Amino acid sequence: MRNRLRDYTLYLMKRNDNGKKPIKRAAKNVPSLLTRGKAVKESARSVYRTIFVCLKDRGGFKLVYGHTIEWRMGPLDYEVKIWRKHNVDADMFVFFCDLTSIDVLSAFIDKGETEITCSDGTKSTVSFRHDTNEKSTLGINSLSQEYNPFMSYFTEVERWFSTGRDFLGVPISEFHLLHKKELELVERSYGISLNEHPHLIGTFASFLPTRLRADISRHEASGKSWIEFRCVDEFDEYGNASVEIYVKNKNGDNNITVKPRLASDYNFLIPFDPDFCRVEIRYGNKPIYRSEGYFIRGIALTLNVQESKLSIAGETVDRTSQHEIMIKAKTHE
Amino acid sequence: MNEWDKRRREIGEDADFDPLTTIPMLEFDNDVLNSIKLRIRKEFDSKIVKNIVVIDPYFGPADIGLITSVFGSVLSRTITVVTNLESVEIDDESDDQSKEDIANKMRTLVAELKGKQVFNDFLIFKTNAGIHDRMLFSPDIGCSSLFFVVGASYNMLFKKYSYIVRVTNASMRYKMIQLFELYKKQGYQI
Repeated sequence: MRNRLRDYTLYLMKRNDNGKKPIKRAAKNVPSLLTRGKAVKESARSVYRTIFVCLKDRGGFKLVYGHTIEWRMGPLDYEVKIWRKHNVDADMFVFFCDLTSIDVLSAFIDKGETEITCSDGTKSTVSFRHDTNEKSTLGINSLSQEYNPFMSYFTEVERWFSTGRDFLGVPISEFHLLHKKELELVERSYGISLNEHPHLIGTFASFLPTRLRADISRHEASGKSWIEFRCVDEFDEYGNASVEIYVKNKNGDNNITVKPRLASDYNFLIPFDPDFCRVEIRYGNKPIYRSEGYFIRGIALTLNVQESKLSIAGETVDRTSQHEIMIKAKTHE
Repeated sequence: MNEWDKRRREIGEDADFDPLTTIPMLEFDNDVLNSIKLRIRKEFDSKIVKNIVVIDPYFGPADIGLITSVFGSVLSRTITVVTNLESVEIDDESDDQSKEDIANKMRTLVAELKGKQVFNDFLIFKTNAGIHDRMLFSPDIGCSSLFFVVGASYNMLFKKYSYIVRVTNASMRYKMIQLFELYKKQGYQI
């Protein structure tokens, strides 16, 4: 599922520890994520991790789904410099490449078509139709139903899509059923589930993750309860950004708001049993991080333990015993 | 609501994808029978399911093996079958078997299951109420997602084009349990 790409992304999240002072990037408000790429590429090495999922159609390729991720390179990141082409199944193909310039994608968005040369020397024309675009942000929210290639990054996203509900003459809600097998294979290889998120079909997106990871945890000892806030600013870009942490109990009648600075770790006492927490970080006036969620109160595990094999009425059955385990957190209310 | 959110909501509602709402014979896998059996087993094994109900007017001895292979994977379950004993096929040998012969054959298989402790219990009810629709569900608390209607008898599901549909409507699930109780009341355990 999508966690595969997230895991891969987590693997990429390495601090720049090569001894050199990381290059700072100023937060700016610019009109488009694609054009903003130009503003930062001279001062920091980023690539545009791009994937096209395409359906071969009359000699060309129609974009079924595509995205690019503006990714700041760390010392352990690899790079795919030439377009790779993968025939997933039947007429479904995937192309992927780490582009060093955004220009190709800008032209692709503007013209609705691009020609790419793959590592096997073949040329392929990919076409895409859209009539609108929207920008938004993706916070870290476990309850969100929206597709997000990142599990722990606040992400700015711009999407290009058609306002219609058809794709290649078929209702989108049916297109993914017609190509269920191919799309399952795309998910297995690339972690993008178009069966789970059919609204992504016929769209292209640009993701810009804020390379900031925050961790908040609750602790209890000696009759005291406190919350620890830790933050990793991967490229030391956001210095003294302002943080706001809001914590409340289950009923919401007890709550607390604290406003530490990003630069240091921070602990604060909680005089009630916390249930919900929201963290917002701003750099200047710009939001660069937002997460919200509930503290874990218990974990329910269902264990299937293999016991034996059995033959009955001509059928062989693997048998397991089931066990349910509940791990509960302490509360002091 | 912005255009993207509207798109996600509308297409999501229209698509309503569920791997267990399907016509098995149209599935792309070569081994349809095992593929669908595995999907059903995975769905039921993902929860603590102690009771499973099978309603099928044509349920016969051959179906006991199928039910065992799908649901016998987990210990301590109780299977309850409601049937009209309309099955006329016993191992495809003849079409003139009496219902009592069918009942005897099933009693033998159930005794074997009990001897091997495959299930906590395996109950078969012959009802006098007319059954038309085939149903498969767990009445256990917390298992409301495990309600299905099936378009054919289980032994034909992988031989003819028919459907499995998950019942998501709470009122219908309640009716299915009511019907199950009615069938039992108007019948007897064989």
